[in-house]
Amino acid sequence: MTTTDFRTCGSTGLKVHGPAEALIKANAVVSVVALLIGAVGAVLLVLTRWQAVHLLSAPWYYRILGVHGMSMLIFFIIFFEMAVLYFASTVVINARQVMPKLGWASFGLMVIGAVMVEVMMWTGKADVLFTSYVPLRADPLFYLGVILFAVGALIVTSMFFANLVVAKREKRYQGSVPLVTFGAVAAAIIAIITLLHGAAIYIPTFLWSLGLMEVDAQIYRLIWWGLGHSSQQINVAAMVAIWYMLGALTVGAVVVNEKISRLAFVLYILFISMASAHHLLVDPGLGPTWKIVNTSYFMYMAVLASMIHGFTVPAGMELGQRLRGFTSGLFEWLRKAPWGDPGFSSLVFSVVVFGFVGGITGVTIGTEQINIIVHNTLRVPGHFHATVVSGTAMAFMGATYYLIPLIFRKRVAFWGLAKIQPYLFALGMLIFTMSMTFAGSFGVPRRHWDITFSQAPFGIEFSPAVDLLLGFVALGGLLAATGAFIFVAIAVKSVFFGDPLGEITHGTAMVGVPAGLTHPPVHSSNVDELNAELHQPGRGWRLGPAPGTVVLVGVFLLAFVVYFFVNWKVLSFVWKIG
Amino acid sequence: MPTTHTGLESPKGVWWTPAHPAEKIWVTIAFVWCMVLFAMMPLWHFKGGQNPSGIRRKVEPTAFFRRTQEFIAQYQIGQDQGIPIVAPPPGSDVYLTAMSFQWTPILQLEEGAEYTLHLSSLDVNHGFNLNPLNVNFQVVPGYDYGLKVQPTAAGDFRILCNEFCGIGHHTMVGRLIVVSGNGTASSGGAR
Amino acid sequence: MADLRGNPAPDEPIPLGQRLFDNFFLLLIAGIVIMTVIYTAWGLWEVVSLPQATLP
Repeated sequence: MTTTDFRTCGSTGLKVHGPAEALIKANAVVSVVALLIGAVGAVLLVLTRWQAVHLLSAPWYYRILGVHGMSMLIFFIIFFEMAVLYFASTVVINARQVMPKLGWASFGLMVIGAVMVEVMMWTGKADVLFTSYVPLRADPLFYLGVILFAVGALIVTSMFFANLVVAKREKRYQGSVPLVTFGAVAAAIIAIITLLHGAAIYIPTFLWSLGLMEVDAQIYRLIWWGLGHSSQQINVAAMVAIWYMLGALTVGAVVVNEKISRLAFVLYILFISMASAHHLLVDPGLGPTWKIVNTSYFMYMAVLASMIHGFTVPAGMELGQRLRGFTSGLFEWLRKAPWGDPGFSSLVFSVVVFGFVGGITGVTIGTEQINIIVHNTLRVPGHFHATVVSGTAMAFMGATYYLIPLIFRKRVAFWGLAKIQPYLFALGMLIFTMSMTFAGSFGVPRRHWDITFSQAPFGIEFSPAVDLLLGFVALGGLLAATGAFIFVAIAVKSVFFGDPLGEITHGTAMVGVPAGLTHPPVHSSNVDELNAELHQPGRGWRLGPAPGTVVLVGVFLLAFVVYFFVNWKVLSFVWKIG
Repeated sequence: MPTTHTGLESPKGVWWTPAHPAEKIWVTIAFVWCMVLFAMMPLWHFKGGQNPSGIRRKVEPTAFFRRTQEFIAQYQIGQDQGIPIVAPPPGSDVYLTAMSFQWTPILQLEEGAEYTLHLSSLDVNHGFNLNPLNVNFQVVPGYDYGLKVQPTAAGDFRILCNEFCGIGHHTMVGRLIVVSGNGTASSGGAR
Repeated sequence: MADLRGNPAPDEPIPLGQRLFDNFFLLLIAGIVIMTVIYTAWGLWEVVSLPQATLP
């Protein structure tokens, strides 16, 4: 390890380790390939559930549904998270990558596993959907592919911790790791919890597929969701870490209170994974006490954590703006924010849609009893597209607009399109998720090829509103998919065919370079005084240093309370059940 | 308070410091809301009308199906599309088997009466969805979910499967009739 | 954004909470144990200890 393995970033001053950078790039590129596959699947799926079009045949609908789930929820997101883990444990703390060759071996393992899984699915040997519920049976190579992928991911996650141990020993940073890295630690810990459950279920299931052992259907569901939902919580932690990062880069967002923000990540580490129970609330194998304790993330402590981040992230952004002079009224800081910076707009839409749509619906439908009117209806994918797509994927896309100039050192291609891509994607997903959720409240099933029930013995007629809503699901989905394809095109063109980026000139807008790099949100030398002033007590109605955020979270809480209790009311209308 | 810094910078020295009152207030409000969220579940468990508690047991799939067939033989009053219609007395244990790709039997229940509805599967996971009410339960092979149910209105309902169970999943539709006190099923459901 | 800055005050004692949060392996163990006990082990016990149906 020599000093020549590092380059110093011209924009941030951070020392970037060459071997780490190469691993970041490789994982990011493969993640975008998976996103492309998943997005193609998305288009085919919405055009099938839009009954007027009904594009795919029944076998292909279920097949592509599985492909879409695996490609997006596992391959796209986890490869990107590997890049995030490498980044957070090296670049952010000026540290080196430990054993890069092991990183490449793991990368190879993950790619081989992913290809095996995709091939099995596309060739019809694994028509079991993303959840592969036993006793639905796939080809053994499907399960083996997942295992190889998971082993690779587990190794990379372990290397993340190794990087941190070595970085501390080599005194690459002073004091504690930055908050962004701490968020990555939370993600990595949840990843280990996830992958341990993955091993615990996929190894026996692989053996079962070879006829070597029995696997109980209820136990499968219990352990699988310890992988399935927890993997989404990795996404939450990684997304929040990216929020803090993008806030810093785009508007100089400051950390309002390290203790509080880190406490929220710690609450995630301790309690968020048990909400895997959300999927088992109307299952016969588990009792009410287990269901209530687990589905509540232990008395909603992990929801408290999300509500904390829901405050500290915008408050940090607001403070970052106020400290740089945007102090007029409640929302000048937001109005005069860099909306033309796709990193910033992605950040905002990610926070808002994740919080208002994803978070509120998720906690509500994950309530033991309300789940009775929700389980396996379209309300479930309506919810999770608002969290993992409009939240996590959107944040990852926003981060990519900075990854391209800073790590790949290229200009962002199709710059005009790049600036509107987050708007297109967010609008599409908003229409998609809200229409889907609403359709689900009529009882429309998820994972279902034909709600006209044309081949069923008894007819069912849904309200005509449902056809309209599914049309809007298609419209929103197509809009969002367009946004996704634009993103993929930008990423591919920039990385492989893009203009190399030399020195970034400050003060002038540059094509293909986000505003956070050309006009970095630098704080003045007396920022500590300004900050202390904003924190003075007795500021009357101004509600502390971030009054705009106080208003926003107030609106959020109101929406939450209303949505929650309306659902209880709706529940009360169905049969008595106990 | 510690030096102003972003999330990408290491905080200097001691960062375990008190939060600003505005932040403390928000955390308190959020905590109280979380306690409300949590309290609703036990509250509804004891006072509310809908809970997924049930009488839950392990069962051999073929044994459950045999019991279902005995149940059908005991109470059958007719058939529709080849599926037997059964009219069990109020208060009894009623059996519904899910199998790829049908629900058997067709239950005819009385509005306002209580039954223990036993759900299980002969083969793979299925999803019980009572349409259009929208009541949903997971039907797991090897497990008997005995839910105490009380229909609240008469009607001609449908049971659709909402857990992928194979290529015929979307053809899997059953029927459930609820007759009112005077023995008629009003048009509360679909055809 | 600004560059990383210098050292903390040398004599400041680090509070216990800060030291706990800085201990990633402690957090890892706690996370794994809590999940394994409350979700996995308890859940498995629930399923495995279900009585056999009498099919009344």
